[in-house]
Amino acid sequence: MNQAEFFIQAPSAGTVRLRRAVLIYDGQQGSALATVHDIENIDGEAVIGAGQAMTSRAAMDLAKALLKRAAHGGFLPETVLYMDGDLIVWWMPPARRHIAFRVDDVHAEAFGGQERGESVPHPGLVFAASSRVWRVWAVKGAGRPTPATALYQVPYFNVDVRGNICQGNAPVPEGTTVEKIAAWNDAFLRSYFTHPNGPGKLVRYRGGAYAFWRDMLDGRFRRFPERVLVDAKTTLGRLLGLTEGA
Amino acid sequence: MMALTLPRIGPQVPRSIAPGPLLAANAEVSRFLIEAEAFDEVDIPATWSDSLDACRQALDGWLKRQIGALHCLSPRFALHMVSRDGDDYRYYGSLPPKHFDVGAVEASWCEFHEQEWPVGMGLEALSARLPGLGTVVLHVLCRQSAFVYPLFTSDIACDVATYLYWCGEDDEEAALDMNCGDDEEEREAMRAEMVTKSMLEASFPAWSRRWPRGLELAQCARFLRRAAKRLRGPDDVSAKAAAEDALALAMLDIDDSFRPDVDGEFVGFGAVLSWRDGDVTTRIYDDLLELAHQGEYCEQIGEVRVSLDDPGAFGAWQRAMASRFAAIRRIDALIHRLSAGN
Repeated sequence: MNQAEFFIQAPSAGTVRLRRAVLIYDGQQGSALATVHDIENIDGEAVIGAGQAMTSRAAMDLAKALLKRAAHGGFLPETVLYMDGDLIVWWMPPARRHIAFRVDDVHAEAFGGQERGESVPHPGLVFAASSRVWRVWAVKGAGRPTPATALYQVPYFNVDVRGNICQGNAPVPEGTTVEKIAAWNDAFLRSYFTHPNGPGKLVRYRGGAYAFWRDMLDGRFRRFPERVLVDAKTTLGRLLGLTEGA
Repeated sequence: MMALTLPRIGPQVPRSIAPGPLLAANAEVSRFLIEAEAFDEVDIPATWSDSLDACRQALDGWLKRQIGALHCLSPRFALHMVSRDGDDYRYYGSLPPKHFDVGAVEASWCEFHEQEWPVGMGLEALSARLPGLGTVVLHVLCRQSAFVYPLFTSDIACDVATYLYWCGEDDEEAALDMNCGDDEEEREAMRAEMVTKSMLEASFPAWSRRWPRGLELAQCARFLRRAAKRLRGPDDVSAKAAAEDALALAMLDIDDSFRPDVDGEFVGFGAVLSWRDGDVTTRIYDDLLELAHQGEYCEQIGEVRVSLDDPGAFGAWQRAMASRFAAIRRIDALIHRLSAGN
């Protein structure tokens, strides 16, 4: 026999309940063991039941459940360089792309206008995004970066010498999954660049960054002049804490 | 020897964690349902940790008591939250919205497992027992189900076929003209592939293919009352029970008060009543679904929106549903009898 059912679609659908406990045993030299225990309800009290050793697979499943916004399954595009937890590092090959500037009154005249935008050649870029960081560097050449690839400061406004992107009021994508890479790229390149961030030289160019971008927007360069890039004095591998050549 | 005890988790550790700001919406709706006296105290579970889930269980108990056990139908009633701006609350496994200013609830219902039930033999058997009984029972079933639990019957299948396959015409000739012109070979090839008028005529008797104009419910009720009295023989038990179910259904006062306000093709049918098992009805129904799913469609049978400021209106809806619940029970019983539980 069938029965009618009543269902309420409500925010309680997002509720998480105490189901299991994980006990973690740390050893010397980085060894670790975890056991998973069901939580049982005995006489109205939550009791930690007998446990089982946590398998690698179970640990990965748990990590995935905890990092819903940093999914790691599926095919990876060749532009993805590195993933660790919710950190994802990807490469954007050199190409012509649109860029827009909105500068202050002081620089407007020398810049050729307060608001300017053109499709111009860009260098190869390496982005890193996680729940805590959003950084970008430039790389020379058109080859896919390796751990040994030298990093350069990006020539853009609104990025400091350490590669941190000033997001200002621009909304950033939620999550750092492979599917979100295009959204992160758009969030960076489709915003207005307004001012150089912090001290230090942005580009090695006569007249500085404003003059460089004025000439770029005026179409002076058919390819991005990589000679203007400022060496960040590190490599991709070193930045990620990897041994050189790994 | 010391007894081993399992480690207990202190009461300061929460047993569940809910998206904080949204709990306020839950509490508000729970309070609304209690103020509306939407369920009896006896339906509230003895222990609960989530007030809204306790309300759901109580409403589920109320609903099950109202409708009772069913043979063929599986109605699902749902309560959705609606914001003060009129937006629906949606949560399908992704992150829940951070803020939701709930201002109303919307109750709706639909069939959870629509299935095909062949009723032709049952209806023909009724008419064999008492001329016209099958026609009247089918008409009452179609007419009374329309606003409470619509059924995809042969008359609807024939109507749908005209615009699904025949460009709105009475048969397939215009569609063949449009697609094949005078090429006889091509016409016959297309005719062999499509649903044709002759296919419908072969599948359904003429009296089931159209809505019997002029046959009012009061007339049906008189006919059924007389039929129930006349069917007294030992072989008439089943036909008499069908006539009594149809009579009870015909006597119910049902209107279109809770018609869903949704644009698009209506596909919220409670069941597909074919004539014979596997006949053309299901094919037409499937094609209708396929067409509907390409654009806007409505699969809810009924709905009502009630502001949280007006709990009395929710109680009024529950009372108004009593005749519809009775209708669902009778519709289910009739489908079961006519299809012999097949």
